[in-house]
Amino acid sequence: MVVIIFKRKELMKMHMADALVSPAVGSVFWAAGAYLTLKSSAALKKSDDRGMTALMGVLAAFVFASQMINFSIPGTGSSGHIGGGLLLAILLGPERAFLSMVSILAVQALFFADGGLLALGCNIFNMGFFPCFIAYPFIYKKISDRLEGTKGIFWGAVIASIASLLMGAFFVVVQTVFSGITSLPADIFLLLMLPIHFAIGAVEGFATAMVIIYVYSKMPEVLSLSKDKPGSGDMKRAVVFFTLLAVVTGGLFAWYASSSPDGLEWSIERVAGTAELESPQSFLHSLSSFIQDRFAPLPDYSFRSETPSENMGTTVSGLVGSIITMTLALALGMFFRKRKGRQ
Amino acid sequence: MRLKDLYRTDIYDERRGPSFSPLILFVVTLSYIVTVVSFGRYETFRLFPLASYPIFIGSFTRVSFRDLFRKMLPVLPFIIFIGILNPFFDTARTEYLGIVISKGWISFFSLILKFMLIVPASLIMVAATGFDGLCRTAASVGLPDVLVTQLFLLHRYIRLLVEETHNIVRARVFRGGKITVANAGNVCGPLLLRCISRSERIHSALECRGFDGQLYHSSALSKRVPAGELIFALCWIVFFTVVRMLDISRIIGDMIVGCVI
Repeated sequence: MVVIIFKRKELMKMHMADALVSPAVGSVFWAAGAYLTLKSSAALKKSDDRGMTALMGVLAAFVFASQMINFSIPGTGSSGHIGGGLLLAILLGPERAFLSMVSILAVQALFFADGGLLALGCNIFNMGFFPCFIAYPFIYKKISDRLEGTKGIFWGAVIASIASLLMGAFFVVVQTVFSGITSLPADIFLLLMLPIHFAIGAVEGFATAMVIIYVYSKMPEVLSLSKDKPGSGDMKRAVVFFTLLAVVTGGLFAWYASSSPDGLEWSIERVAGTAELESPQSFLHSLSSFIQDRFAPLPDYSFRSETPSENMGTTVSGLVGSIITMTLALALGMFFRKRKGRQ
Repeated sequence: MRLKDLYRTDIYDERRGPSFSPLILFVVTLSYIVTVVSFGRYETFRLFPLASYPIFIGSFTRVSFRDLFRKMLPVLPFIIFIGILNPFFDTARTEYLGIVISKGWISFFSLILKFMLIVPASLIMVAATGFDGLCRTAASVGLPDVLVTQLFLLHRYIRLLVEETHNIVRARVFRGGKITVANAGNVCGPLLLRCISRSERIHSALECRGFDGQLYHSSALSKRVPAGELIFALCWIVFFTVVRMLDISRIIGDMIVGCVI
């Protein structure tokens, strides 16, 4: 099964979709993403280096374009492309790379339906924060500083890429399970996601290393662009804070996942806060009961049964109502369009 | 990812101006998404009335439903992958339309339905307001200048670089060379170096034109939102709230079925 999934690589990309996150999870990660974006922008404003603006834009477009080139992996029948976040961090430094990733993810969400508006925060965290602020400074830099030349670049890129993909994949599982979308137990979900992302990370790291080594051999001064970037104290604090938060969330999640996979679902419903949405307001409730009592052809069913099963009568009514609502919407849309055209 | 996908739903025309104020459409779309995802995983039928919004706004702005569907297709496998395991792990049975079905299948269909509702809504938002309009609005509500400039530049250069990448790949394939992970450096490296030298030229050009850190003019931001659009937003938000609180399709269905029987 793993092989099949890996062959169909699009199945395993890490973009969270809107349909997979609950409002609570979406807004928590939106807040985290917004905070990191503001901090990164403030750090860049301080450095006031406008010469890098064009480079950021063009390199982000490069990452976009280069991900269309799929490299085949001999002997496996699968393919991979270069890892965006890490490559940008190596060329631009963490803050600029993070902002470039934010822009890439926003364009992917808005134009390609890859990700989504509500899930944008989750994607920024999984695919921007980990490679730019964790994998690059704490793994790639340390290794490439210690091992001189292309060896350092190669091992640094491969290990950092694997680490950032594993962290990202772990958080995809955390976010999906906390959103209460899947019935898949968290431990099985992790077992499915982590080995595949380990392999994808190795391939992406290898391809990224090849590109960086090429640049290093032709134009070594390009790689020094990111080295003299001023690191702001504020940014470091923000990174430490989010790293701790990620570790605590991950730790709690792992504890839950191992102790009671079913208990997790229960806790999600509490976190998602659906409880207060489940009970309609008394006025509206009584109004709808009145309408239903007045018109209902099958009078003995309650306004909202507690069990999710729906009997035949309910379903027919639901279908008729849905079709009418949608037709009305289509008619109204066309009516207003014609009216606007006449004006 | 193909280049034509990028512009597939693009109906925004700069000469005509946006059909909607970007801020209004953004607020309505976001509240729509929140409403859709706030439904529980077994509430499939209650989601149907929410299809009214993409249907209305899609037919109003003349976005091709076929193009929307084509954009959604490549992303669908991931959602199916996450959802398809639900029936295997959630085997509790329930009755639906007279058929006994496992609750896992209901949650799977509800997931797919949510995806089919949300994705068109956000694609139509971009199609109707234009990417520039959205970025300007985002800047006016506090998105940092650095990021707004970055978004503008990215949007402008994607097309150029995607075309260049296509040429590189085509040239390689025509020469019979296989693109493998081992020659990644030789394929992507030259493109990357060309991008870097291009960015230097862009920077010089920007400096010549008096670039001061932002690519847009703040005068364009002070637009008033017309009253009609405010009413539009209010109506939809009220509709979303009502659908969230009441089982509206059932109420309407009961009224109609009740009248007929």
